[in-house]
Amino acid sequence: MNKHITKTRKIGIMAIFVAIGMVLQYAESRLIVTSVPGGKLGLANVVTIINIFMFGNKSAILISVIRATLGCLISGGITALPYSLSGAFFSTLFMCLAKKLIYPRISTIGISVIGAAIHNISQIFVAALVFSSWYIFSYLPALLVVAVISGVLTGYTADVFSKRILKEIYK
Amino acid sequence: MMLFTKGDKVIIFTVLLSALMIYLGFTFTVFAKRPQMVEIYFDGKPYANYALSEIKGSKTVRIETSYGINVLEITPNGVRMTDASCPDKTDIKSGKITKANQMIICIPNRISVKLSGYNADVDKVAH
Repeated sequence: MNKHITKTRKIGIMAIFVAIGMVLQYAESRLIVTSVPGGKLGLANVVTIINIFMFGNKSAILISVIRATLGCLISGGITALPYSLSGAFFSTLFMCLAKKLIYPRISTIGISVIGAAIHNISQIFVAALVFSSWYIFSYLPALLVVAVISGVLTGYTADVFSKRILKEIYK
Repeated sequence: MMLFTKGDKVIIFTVLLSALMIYLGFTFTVFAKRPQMVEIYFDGKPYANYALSEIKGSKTVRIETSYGINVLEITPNGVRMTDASCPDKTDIKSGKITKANQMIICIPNRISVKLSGYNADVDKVAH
């Protein structure tokens, strides 16, 4: 999107986004309590959506995988790593695909809902593998409802952020 | 300003519809059985079993493994996690499970608790 950004500047900004994502992920795990087991707001998703639009698919996937790994080490502990990694990787991948294939027809809100839903589905999938029981999928309906609500919120936030703030950064 | 595009609404509707389908699918198939046994698994392997019919009042079970401590309360109609050493307490938030094949899982402590049961329809035939 911005051809005049130098490579160094791009790496710098990407690192800032990794840091912002980590802080959001950590703050969320400490401050926001949901009544649905495993349900969460996914604030770091705001950063991921912005990354997809700013840096393209490969960089966005890289940023969210790094963010999930580091974020896990400071908040969730090592057991949460497979869940966090698969959630971050697959949700970013599907959001990239959604942006590439159907973007003008869906807004960032649609992309965000897809990301949130895929995030939960992939985590449930990992849990089903770890506990070798597909009954764990019964958690999914409640998580998908939470995903829709949080997806709309984070998608709208990403939209507002990119329209108002990013313009200032690239003035 | 138009907040949702038509495509957004289609996606939101699809996700909510699939949630409903999965919920109904579980309610009318695997959860339509009466619970009979409490099965506790550690690291994917069986750890302990309790028959619900043998529970009088309530029974507290303490599970201590190398990953942490979980405390279960078993009553004749179900089971819930009352205490856990894990940081997120997702297992306690899951509340009480009362239907066959429902599970409580504690990811950090690698504990899963499952109610197993027999088919209610088979029971009716027997009567």
